[in-house]
Amino acid sequence: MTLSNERNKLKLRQVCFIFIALTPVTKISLLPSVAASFLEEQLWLGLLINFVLDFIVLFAILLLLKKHDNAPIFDVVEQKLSPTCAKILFFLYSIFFFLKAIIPLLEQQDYVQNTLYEVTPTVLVFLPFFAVSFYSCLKELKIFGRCVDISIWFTLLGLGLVLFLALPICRIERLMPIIQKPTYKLIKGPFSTIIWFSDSVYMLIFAGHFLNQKQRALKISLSYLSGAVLIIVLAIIFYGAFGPIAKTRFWAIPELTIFSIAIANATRFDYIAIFLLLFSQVFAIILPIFSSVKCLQLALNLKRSIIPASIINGLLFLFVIVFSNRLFKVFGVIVNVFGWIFICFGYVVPILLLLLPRGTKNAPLKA
Amino acid sequence: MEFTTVVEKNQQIIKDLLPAKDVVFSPFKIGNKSALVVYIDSLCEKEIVGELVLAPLLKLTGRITLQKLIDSVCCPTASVVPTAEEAVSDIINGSVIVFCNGLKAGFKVDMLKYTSRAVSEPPTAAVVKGPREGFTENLKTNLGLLRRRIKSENLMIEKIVVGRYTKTDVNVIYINTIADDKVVKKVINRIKKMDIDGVIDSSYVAKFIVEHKFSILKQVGNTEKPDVLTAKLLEGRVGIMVDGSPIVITVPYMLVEDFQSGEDYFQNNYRSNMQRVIRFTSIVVAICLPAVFVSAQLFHLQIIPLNFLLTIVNSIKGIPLSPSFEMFFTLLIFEILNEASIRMPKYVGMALSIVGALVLGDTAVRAGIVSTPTIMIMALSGISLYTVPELVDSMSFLRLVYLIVAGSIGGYGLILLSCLLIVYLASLENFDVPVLAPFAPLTTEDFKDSVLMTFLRDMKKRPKTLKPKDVVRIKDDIK
Repeated sequence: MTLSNERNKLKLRQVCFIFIALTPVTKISLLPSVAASFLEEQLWLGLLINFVLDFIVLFAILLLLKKHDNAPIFDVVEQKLSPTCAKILFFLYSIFFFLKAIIPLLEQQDYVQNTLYEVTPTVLVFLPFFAVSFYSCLKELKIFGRCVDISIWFTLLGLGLVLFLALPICRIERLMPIIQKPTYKLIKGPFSTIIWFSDSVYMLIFAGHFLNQKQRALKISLSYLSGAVLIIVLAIIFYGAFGPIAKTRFWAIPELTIFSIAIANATRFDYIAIFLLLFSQVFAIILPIFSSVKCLQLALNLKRSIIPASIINGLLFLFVIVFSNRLFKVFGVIVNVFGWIFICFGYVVPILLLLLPRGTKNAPLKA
Repeated sequence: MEFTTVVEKNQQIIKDLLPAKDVVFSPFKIGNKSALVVYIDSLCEKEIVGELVLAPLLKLTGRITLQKLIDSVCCPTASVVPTAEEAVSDIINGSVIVFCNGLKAGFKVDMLKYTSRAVSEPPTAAVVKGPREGFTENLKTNLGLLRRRIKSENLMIEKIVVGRYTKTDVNVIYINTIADDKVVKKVINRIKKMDIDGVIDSSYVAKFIVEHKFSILKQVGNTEKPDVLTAKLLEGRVGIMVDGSPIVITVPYMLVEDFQSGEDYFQNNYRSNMQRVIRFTSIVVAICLPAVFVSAQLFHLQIIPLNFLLTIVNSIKGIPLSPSFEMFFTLLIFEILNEASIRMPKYVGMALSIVGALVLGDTAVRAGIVSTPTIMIMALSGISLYTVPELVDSMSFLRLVYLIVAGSIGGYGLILLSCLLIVYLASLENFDVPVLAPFAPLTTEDFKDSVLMTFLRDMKKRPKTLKPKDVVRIKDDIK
């Protein structure tokens, strides 16, 4: 059972674009203010720690890929351990990605209502999202890759415009001192924001499903670092602009741009950036849902993804209806109750997979 | 059914198989033997039949053989017709059949009379600079126009007859050293599989060879100009020419090709680039502007500049319709006027423009049914759509969908619809070529001729997406 054949594989460039264009845009709405509430001036250090941890996992997965000649991880586990183990592992990963999708979903729902719909906020506006998500989940990996090829332009343009508008109001001295006591905040902070990270795990899904090209590890690593730098720069500008009140400015993007002189003179053309980034954010939120569907498809050994797509999207649909406008309560529950799941599946398991022996048990692995 | 050596019996056989009244049976003598010429009056020129076929036959003397008869007529396409069924098929296709007493077969001479309009500039692809010739409904004329441009032994033309009743000639055209064999094979196979009573136009063939019959976007390219077809064949595409249709289909199709005009390559590069950007922008404006305007009025007032907002507020005072219905109503009127202007005889077209654009528009505003900004937005959207005439069909439908979504969900709905559209378009492939290429999948090599175009001298390779056999277009640049 595999997710792609030779024709349906992602391109290495598309994997890189996912780390530059998609995974960063889930971190630009609420994360800066949440990080500021835990870490204040040190928010960028907290984010850096998160990114470094993620990068270690990414590095481990890249080593894993090298070790097994870019074979699909499902096949590796199936052959080195047992088919049942592989199915259980991917079923658990399906749950992990399901949980990983919840906060960005509720976050986007709140963000859309608060930022765009000042007149008539309603949960109904958000629900058509699941039509797009369901349709996307039925498609192959390469189609998702093609969407990323387009959305990268939206991300870069959107973020570029936001940074351009926000830079003049940033006062860098607000980030001083760099290390502030008590330092234990630097542990608690990154743990509290962990649900926005562990993006390296997507590589477990992509493994074996993208074309093997030269300098694969270097290109993916650089892409990941580029995405990380973008977010850290945005976080620095965010805190530089608002200082101690940053934690009360929930939605970073509109808050950052609204005070620009250019907007005061013309109109809210920063909405162009907001809409451009929303376009990428839709795909970014679909990514964990898509991953959850594909993991469930592998775990259930199904040829088509319509059943897992219906299950995952249906459950998330119900979840959003029930927990609509309860973002912060859900956030607290997920961090405090399910935080260990993120540590376990986002960091520990991928590294443990490195321990699987090289070579074949039965037949050679095919990429 | 086989013929006999008696002319009268052969005449009866033909009459039984082809009872139509316009079939001409004309007896004459070759030497001292009775002979018969059969043809359809409306398909052949009587004078040419007399001059090229009958006159040489009347002069024959001595022993008469079938080969001697064939050699005597002044036509290289003359050949033996051994069976009655073949003879009937040839007569229908414009051949003249000749029988002679004592010979157990007839022979045919292709005398099909072509009546067609003159080669002229196609109304859908007028240019300021560049060739003005356009295809006609006559297949032979069209092939001649193409052959005159590609004088290569590698230009291949595969003829397939389609249509149980119409027996229409469908020609698959490609350059065998460039076009991808898989695409050629697929095209030919799909056309051969067509089992239909008749092919009226090339669009019939287009509907049968496409992979996604429910697609909202067109899936084949088309052109009415031989210069454009030549360029497409040289890029590695396959052309499909249908007798009776001035529109030639080209496959594989990529969305970007509709934004490329033949003129782009003939004029100043900077001007061409500017026009391409305008075309891309216009299509976005055409689809999204009415929807964005409606969603801004209904849900996102903050994105409208204050002065413009005041203008809108002043103009919508007393308008009974909601912004979305108002825009929908205006769009409906625009589509009705558009449809009427196409169908209406030309001499009343001017009156329609005056009634539609001036009287109706002005009166609707004065009567307080629609507001001025709405009319302006719809007019801008309508005009913008025609910057890319090839996309009018699908984009006018999309504009309506966007408008409905904007009126009900607002800006976020537009984003979701765009995402859905992108996923849909990204998954569309025709003949294994992605419709959204070179944007998705990103093919940087093909960016030289996409939204912006580089200088012709720098387009050294054919589009990679089309998988041409011979990649190199320019071998050695002038130093």
